This record gives sequence, structure tokens and C-alpha cells, in this order.
Amino acid sequence: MDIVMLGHSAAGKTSYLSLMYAAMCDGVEGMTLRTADRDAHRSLLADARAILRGRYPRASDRPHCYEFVLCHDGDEIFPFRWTDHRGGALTEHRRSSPQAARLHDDLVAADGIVLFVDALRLDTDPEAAEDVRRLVVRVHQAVADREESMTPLVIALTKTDLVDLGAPDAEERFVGPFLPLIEAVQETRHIQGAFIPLVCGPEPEGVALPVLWTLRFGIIGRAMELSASIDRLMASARHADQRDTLWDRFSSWWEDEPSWASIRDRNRALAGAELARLEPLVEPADRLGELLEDVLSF
Amino acid sequence: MTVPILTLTLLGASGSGKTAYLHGMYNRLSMGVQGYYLYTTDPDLDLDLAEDWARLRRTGTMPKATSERPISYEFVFRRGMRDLMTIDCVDFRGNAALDRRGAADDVALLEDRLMRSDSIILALDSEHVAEWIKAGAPGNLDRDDDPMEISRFSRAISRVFSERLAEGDPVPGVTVLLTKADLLAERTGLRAAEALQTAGRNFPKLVPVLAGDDAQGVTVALCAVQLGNFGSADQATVDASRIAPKNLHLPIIFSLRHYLSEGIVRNRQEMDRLAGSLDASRGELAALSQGLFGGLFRGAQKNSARQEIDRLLASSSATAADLQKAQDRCRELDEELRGVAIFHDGRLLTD
Repeated sequence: MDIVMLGHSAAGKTSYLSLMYAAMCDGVEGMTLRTADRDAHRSLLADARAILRGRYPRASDRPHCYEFVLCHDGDEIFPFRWTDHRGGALTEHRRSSPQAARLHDDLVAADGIVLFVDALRLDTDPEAAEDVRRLVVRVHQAVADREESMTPLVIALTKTDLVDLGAPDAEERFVGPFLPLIEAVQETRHIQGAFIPLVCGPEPEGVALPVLWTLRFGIIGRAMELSASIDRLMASARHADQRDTLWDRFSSWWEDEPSWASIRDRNRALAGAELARLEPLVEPADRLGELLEDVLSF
Repeated sequence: MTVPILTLTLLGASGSGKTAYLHGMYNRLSMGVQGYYLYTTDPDLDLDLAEDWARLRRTGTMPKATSERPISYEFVFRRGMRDLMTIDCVDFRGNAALDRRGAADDVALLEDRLMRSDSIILALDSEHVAEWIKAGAPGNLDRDDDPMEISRFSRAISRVFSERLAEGDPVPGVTVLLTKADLLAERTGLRAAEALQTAGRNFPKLVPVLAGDDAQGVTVALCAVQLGNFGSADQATVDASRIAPKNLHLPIIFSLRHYLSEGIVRNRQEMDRLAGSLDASRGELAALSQGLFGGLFRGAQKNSARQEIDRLLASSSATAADLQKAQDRCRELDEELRGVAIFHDGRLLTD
């Protein structure tokens, strides 16, 4: 699964990634993250420790790609790639910036998208409306030509400790700019949206939720693919079984071609293998569902 | 139902506000208006349009007029996450439609493009429309003294209509865009709605080719739009605090509505044709089945007739589904267009 993290400069993407990784290394209800890249592991944890002491990492100057695996009760169940694009790439032209070109290509191919928006900027800077517009256009461009495959979309509102989310007009100020996108997503079946307030500072809040939301629907999408594949293989196996006769076994042996019986057995074996891949996903998907019950979804 | 590609051409005299309209329309619709979205297929174009709009918002500098090199845009128009149409739009400089062929490269380009346009937007500066209203909304505007150049644009549009009708094709839908609509009230002394109604009532005198007795088969929307309450000050630089866009999405809604209604007509004709073919094939099958042994020895011909009937039934069913979807979408769009003056066959349908 490819997850693309998108947001303007200083929205808190890099801080989020470090804090999220540190939180998920500790684990949430038996769910943990691992990476085989020891340098990335050390660097993310060092950045997280610095943030907890009030020192923030420098913004990305180039895209970073992290290979993670979600583990459930210690078993590796779902590998995924998380790409952190430099915020500036959003405002650069593809014709002159290779990073902007890569951002577009990654977005079009993404299986999950996490948008980062700075709540303080949204509240105080009129220019932030344009940031939101650009993010929304990017989402439209990204999901334009794709098949109707399950796509999780998270709007992560960062720096919420610096604004008053309890104010009577908070919904209008912070959710309002995304309302047209939220309404558009609500009309689809394949895009699963969530709006998640975050704090990515010395006292982090909610940092595990965006990644868990994205992974939950990544897992469900993968389970649906496997389930459809099992159905197809079993239908083929039944079809082959109906054509299996003694004469077919003999003539197929004579003609040196696969008999219907061998086709049936092969399809059943393939379906069994797919089922073996599907089964470990079911319990984590259910557990993630319980964990994410209170997330504002659309 | 496949997503249609709509060829849209903007006409209007220099300074009528075509380019500014295009920028404002994109900015509004790319944020989402009433569930409708517009976005460029090329992210770089989105940035170009956004940078121009940001300059307008920060410094009041209007987007630069188009040069002799027309600018092409490919937009996707959506309802929610569902594509409604792709819009192939080219912004030409104002005089491209007025110069002689050979005067510049864009003149021939515009002529060719007009001929294959599904939709035309004719931009008229409200400042001049207001002067016309104040003068009692006369007919027969003086060709040499009309800053809107209506007679010359009318000739270009009329040529498109004639060629299309001669070939039996539908004529493009036309939106007459009253740009800088804040000037309608300011210059006439009327309320904006009254001024617009006056323009609507007298529209056949303003653009006879679109709403006069000869406008058979022509559908036109009269739509007042504005980027802000800028008044009649220098239009190259405006007071950015007075940006107040109005109705910028409606011309695109009307273009889609017109395109779909033409499709409905074509689908109905196709349904009639399929029904006729189906009757003929059933008659043929019945004839083959007659005779002493029920056509026992004409099995191959009967199979072929049955296959043809199945094919026609499938086509008929697909066309009926397309027709239903187009009708449903038209009903949605009609809601959005409530309050827009629409003329058909020279008659005012709504206002």
C-alpha cells in the first residue's frame, strides 16, 4: 500500500511522522509498526524525542519514502510505504521541478492520502483558503482516473492546541473550508474519509489515528481483493469439477494437456493460498474498527 | 454514460473581461460551488491560474489580457466526485474574432474552432450594456460606434449557425455574459435585478441573431457575472478588498445543460430508429417462421434474425439508460439555473 502525505510547508508533516512512528513503536492495542531501515528507525525516534523536549525537526528538503510494516500481536501483517513530500512541491510547476512531478505521479498512484492542514494558519491567515483549495484540487486530480478501489483519505488538522476547538464556530472555521470535499466524498462508496485533529508537539495527541485509519481501509481493500479472488478461483474450480470425467483424465494425459481435474485442484489450492493471506487480516481490521469508532468520518 | 468533451469558445471585445472571467470562474469552481467542481487536468495550469488570482487578491492586479498566442485549458467539471464533462477551452484575445484572416495566426485558429464549438460564451461589458439601457435599449446598434462589437461577433456566430444547420447538426449553445455586473446598477441607476430584467426583455434588440425571429433552434442564456464591486475605475488594477464574485459558475452549468439537452434529442432519435429496426427484424423473423413447416429449413436465417433482435434490444436498453441519466442530470442543473434568463427559438423561456 502506498500512502502519500500532503500538506503545505510548516503544516507539521515531518513532526507528525516522527511522533506517529514513536507512538506506533510503543504500540496501540497490539498494533505496532516496524521498519527494516535501521537509519530511518533511529532518525525518526531521535526526532520524536527532540519534539517531546520542544525541539522540532527541520522541514523536509526532498521527498522521504519510508517502508513500514504493520504488526498485530507481533506478527507482520501489512506492509506499506509512506511518502513525505516537501511542502514546497505543492506550489512548484511540474515543468520545472522534478519533485513537483513526482508528487503528482505519487498522488495519482496513491492507495491512501493524508492531507495536513495547519489549524492556526487556517484560523488567522486569509491565504490559508488558497492552501485548502490547492489540496482539494490535488485530491480531485489524484482520484480522477482511478478504478473505484478503496481509498482512505484523512484530513489531519495539526496544531489544534493553538486554537480553540471548543468555540461555537469552530466547526465552521476548521471543517467549513473542507465541506465541499467532505460532501463530495460522502457521495462515493470507495473513498473513506476522516477528519482528525492532531497535536504534534511535546504533548502529542491523536498521532496514531491518521495512520491507523489509512491502514484499516487499506487492509479492508486488500481483504476485498482477496475475497473476490477466492470467489473467482472457487467458481473456476466448480466449473472444472463439472467437466471432470474419466475420459477427460485419460484424453488429457494422452494429449499432454491439463485435465479438468488438475485445473480444479490447482484453482482450489490457489484459493486456499489466498484464504491463508486473507485470514490474518480479519481480526486486525475488526480491532482497528473498534479503535477508530470515535473518529469523525465521512 | 461516457464523459462528454465540450468545446467551449470565448468571444468578446478587448477589455470585455473574458480572461478575468475565466480566472474568477476557475477560482470559484475549483473551491466547489453547490457540489460542483472544476479542476485543470494539468496541475501546472492550476498553479498558473492560482498565481494570477493570488496577485489579484493581494495587489488588485487583474490577469493580463491574452496575447496573439491563445491559451488552452483542459478542465474537468464534476458533481461531487463524478465527472460530468471535460471542457476544452481556449482563451483568445478580443480582436482575434474581429481581425481579417491572415492578420495574425490566431484569427484562423479561432474561426476553425468556432465551427466545431459546442458552446460559445459572448462577453459583453456591463458598462456598455448599461449605457445601452440608459439610451432606451435601442435596436440596430451602430456597427461603427458599438464598443461591444456585437454586429461583428453576430456575423461570426451566424456563420457557425448556418453551417451547422446546413449539415443538419445542432447549433452550439450560447451564453451571453454580462461581465462586471456591478456596473449595471451603478451606471443605470436601477437596481441590479431591474437592469438585468430590462436587458432580458430587450435582448432581441441587443443581439438579434441570438434572440430575434431568425434564432430558430438557438438556445441562449443571459447571465450577469462579476468578480467584485470594482466600479468603473481603471480595470487593470482594482481594489482587492472589493472582490465579491457572483454567478461565475452559471455559464458552465448552462453549457453542460445545453449539451445534455442536445444529447437527449439525439438519444430520442436513436430510440425511434432502434424501435423501427426492431419492428422490421421481428417482422422478418415472423415471415421466416411462416410456411408449411414453420420455416423448418430456414434455421440459419432465423438465427441471424434472432441475433439481430437481441443486439437491437441491448442497444435500445443502453440508449434508454443514457437518456434517463441525461434527463436526471438536466433536472439537477435546472435547479441551479433558476433565475437565469434563457431564450430558445428567439423566445424568453425563463427569467
